[in-house]
Amino acid sequence: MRVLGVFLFTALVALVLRSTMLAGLAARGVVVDVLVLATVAWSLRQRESWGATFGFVLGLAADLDAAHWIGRHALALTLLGYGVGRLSNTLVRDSPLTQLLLLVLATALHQVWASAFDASGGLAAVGWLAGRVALATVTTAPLGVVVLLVTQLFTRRRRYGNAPGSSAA
Amino acid sequence: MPSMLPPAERRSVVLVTVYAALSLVLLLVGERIPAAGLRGVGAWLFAPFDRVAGAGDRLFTSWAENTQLHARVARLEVENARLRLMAAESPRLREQLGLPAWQGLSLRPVEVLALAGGDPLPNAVTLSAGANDGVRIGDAVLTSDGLIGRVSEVWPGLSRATLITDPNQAVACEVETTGVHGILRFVPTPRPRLVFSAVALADTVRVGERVVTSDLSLRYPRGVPVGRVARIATDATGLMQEIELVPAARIARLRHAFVAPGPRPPADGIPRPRLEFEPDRLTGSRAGGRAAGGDSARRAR
Repeated sequence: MRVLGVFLFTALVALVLRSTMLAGLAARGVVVDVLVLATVAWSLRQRESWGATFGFVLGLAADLDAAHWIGRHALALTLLGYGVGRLSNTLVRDSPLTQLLLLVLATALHQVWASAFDASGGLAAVGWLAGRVALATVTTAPLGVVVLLVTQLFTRRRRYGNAPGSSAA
Repeated sequence: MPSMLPPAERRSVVLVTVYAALSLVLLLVGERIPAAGLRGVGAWLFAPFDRVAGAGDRLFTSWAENTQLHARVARLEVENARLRLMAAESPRLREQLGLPAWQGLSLRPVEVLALAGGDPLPNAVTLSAGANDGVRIGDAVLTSDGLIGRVSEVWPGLSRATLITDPNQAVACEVETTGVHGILRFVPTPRPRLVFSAVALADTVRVGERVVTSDLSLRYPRGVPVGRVARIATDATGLMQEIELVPAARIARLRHAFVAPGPRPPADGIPRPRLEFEPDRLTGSRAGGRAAGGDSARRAR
């Protein structure tokens, strides 16, 4: 029951931030992919089943909000949630470097996928879309690590733990 | 090989397969699903949280905004005094020319609760007023700077407006000074920009000129600023001009807006442009003869 409460709260915060403050920032060119950030954080903590469920629910809500291409965020975030959840079984999840790499990879993949739906104008668009992917990745990944660290500090315990069988476990 | 996996992993594989399949089905048929009701429920659920988040944002920026607004009020007061003088003679001149009286816009102030849609630019907003407040589908949405979009979905206490940054929106516009007509569209790639298209090469448009909504528009009231000409080029066909605009309204900073009723469709349901500058004598309502009235009616259809 507690997991469900945290699940709903995290999704709610991510969606409200996306439609208020972050939307204003994005319009000025600073894109923070809060959907990926929340999905990666959740999947690191709750593993692949919950990760995929969280990604699907969050993505579907974002898709319904956008009104076009319903299912694009849901599909990408489901797979990312599952992938990060599976990887978290074999990684030192408390390591900021691990989190940074996961966030870089996940943000880049999600942005490339989302950009594909906006792509028109042939090769002329490639440069701009690449810039958009790079900017979102550069912004989201370090911010995500900070958010994960702050969350960890607030809960005053290891939030994510380490992979079973690793030396730090 | 799901059957060779441990039960927990098998369950997660089944789960992700179901989610992925569902997402793919939605991608294929999602546009046909009537999602407006779901969006209405979502907007209603999220409205209190959006208000809280918006209040924090407003509080944070209120000091700087207050200073700007003071300066703006002073500037507008000076301009208002000048316009009052012109307004006194305008009805007299219109009457002499046989033009109908200018119908002002009735504006309903609303709060922008949330921005929705694409990255990097939003393509829709949730508004704090709905059907209970008299908002109807098709109403124009604008700020004090200019047009931002059009109401596309209405619920009892809230509504959703599609912005001019939605690539599926098109607005009939004209250059304010010369009356050159064209169509405003948002082009997302290779970089997001507002484009004033379908302008013939022979038409003269200059950088810096203001573009406003056209009186030929069936959806928007006339004369609402849309943007200023920033760059002029020839389109891919080489037959038309492609004019890039700087938007009049700041899409990145939407907090308050106004809803203005757009031109309503006629009672017979057949939409047709109504030329506001059309002289009354051609409509047959004043002296002008049956022939002129009949001609006007034919042209209007």
